Amino acid sequence: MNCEQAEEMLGAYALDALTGDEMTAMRAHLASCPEHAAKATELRAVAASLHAVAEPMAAPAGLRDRITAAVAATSQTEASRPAAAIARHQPLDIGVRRETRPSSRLHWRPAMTFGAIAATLAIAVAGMLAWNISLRNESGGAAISVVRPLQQDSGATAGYIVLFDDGEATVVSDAMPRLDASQSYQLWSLSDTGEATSLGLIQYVDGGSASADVSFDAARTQRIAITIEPAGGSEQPTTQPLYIADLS
Amino acid sequence: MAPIPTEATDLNSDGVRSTNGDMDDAALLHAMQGGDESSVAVLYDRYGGAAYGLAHRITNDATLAEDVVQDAFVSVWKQCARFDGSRGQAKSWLMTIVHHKAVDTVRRRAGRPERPLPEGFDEPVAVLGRPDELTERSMDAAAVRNAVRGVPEDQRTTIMMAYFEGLTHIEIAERMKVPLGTVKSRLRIGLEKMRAELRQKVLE
Repeated sequence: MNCEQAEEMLGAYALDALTGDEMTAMRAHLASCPEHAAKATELRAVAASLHAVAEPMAAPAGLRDRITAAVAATSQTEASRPAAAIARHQPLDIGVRRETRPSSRLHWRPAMTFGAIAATLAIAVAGMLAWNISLRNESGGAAISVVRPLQQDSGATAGYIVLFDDGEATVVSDAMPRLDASQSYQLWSLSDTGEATSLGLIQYVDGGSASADVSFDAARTQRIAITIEPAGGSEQPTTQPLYIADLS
Repeated sequence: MAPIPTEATDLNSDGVRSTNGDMDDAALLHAMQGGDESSVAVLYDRYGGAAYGLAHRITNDATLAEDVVQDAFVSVWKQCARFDGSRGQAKSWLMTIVHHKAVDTVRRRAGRPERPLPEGFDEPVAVLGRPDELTERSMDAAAVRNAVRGVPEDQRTTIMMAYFEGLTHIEIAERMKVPLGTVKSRLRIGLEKMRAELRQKVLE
């Protein structure tokens, strides 16, 4: 989708009135066009305000009690963690501060703001990232240090890896095809000598995106790679990496 | 005579007024993030009528609207960790969830596929940030309705079909028997007019 086509579709996008293919194309365009990304956010805010056109109505008696009962029966904790990463070697648990992590010796860039990053990421990815960051902020906070694209062989960007200044990272993608139940995407830390250490598996979350939270030894990690492995993961990579993020 | 309460009050088992009825929305969501179930009831007391009004307007069915509102409040409870109060209003987030659920309901009922959403379902638009010009004040109901009235009728009707009927632009083009390009233009130009009007309101 070129800029002219995207411009014309901004209104339909803001109102969620695009078809699936158009939405995918639009998201790809917005990820690479800050000008349209800003305009899209603005028009979405306008579209979201349209709820005010509907007059409030007295809700049926009993609805409040039904909601209260439903809330009491619904586990907030489990449901609030749709993107919780799976890791065989390092159990990960988003939202709970993990044990002391290895100190980072990577040369970080100056911290970026979320807004600057959001402008460059596909919106689904930015949303997941925002959610992740809000959890981090609750648990003490860690600034974003650097964002690296997750690249395919072809050079195309399939997602991003966001490194935080506490040595943790979040991998987010909305362009990784969903695998069948016999296979898993597995994340690896690759050292400069090519040694691979598993960082766990990537999980799909609502909205068709994929995500994982990892902590790794930044001093020994030159690249982060993603391979397809048998379901549950492997001890060592058994296939060639499909996606690689270079951290150096 | 005791004053008539104007907002939600919650009495605990000792008959003491709980404090969350006095909280602003952001504090309420924060309490919810801490696991306070009663905050959902307070939020319902504040916005249940607006939520039900929106759900009813979209579904045109009392039972479906009730289900939508219940689902939406339970979603808010489940997903409240995602909400970032510094980036938007709790009410906007709630109403976005109500809207998505109501539209999905009517599309399912009509046998149409669910619409693709750019954020994961239930993702708060507010968390993605909003332009500074469009403040909470500019988004009050009267200002929005006024901005809608300022949009030419053909554009307004097209926008309403997308928002309240949950139609895609292709479906709108078929329904209105106009070219797809016309629908795209009406949606974009109409929203841009609303944006300009709401901005103007802020500058007044």
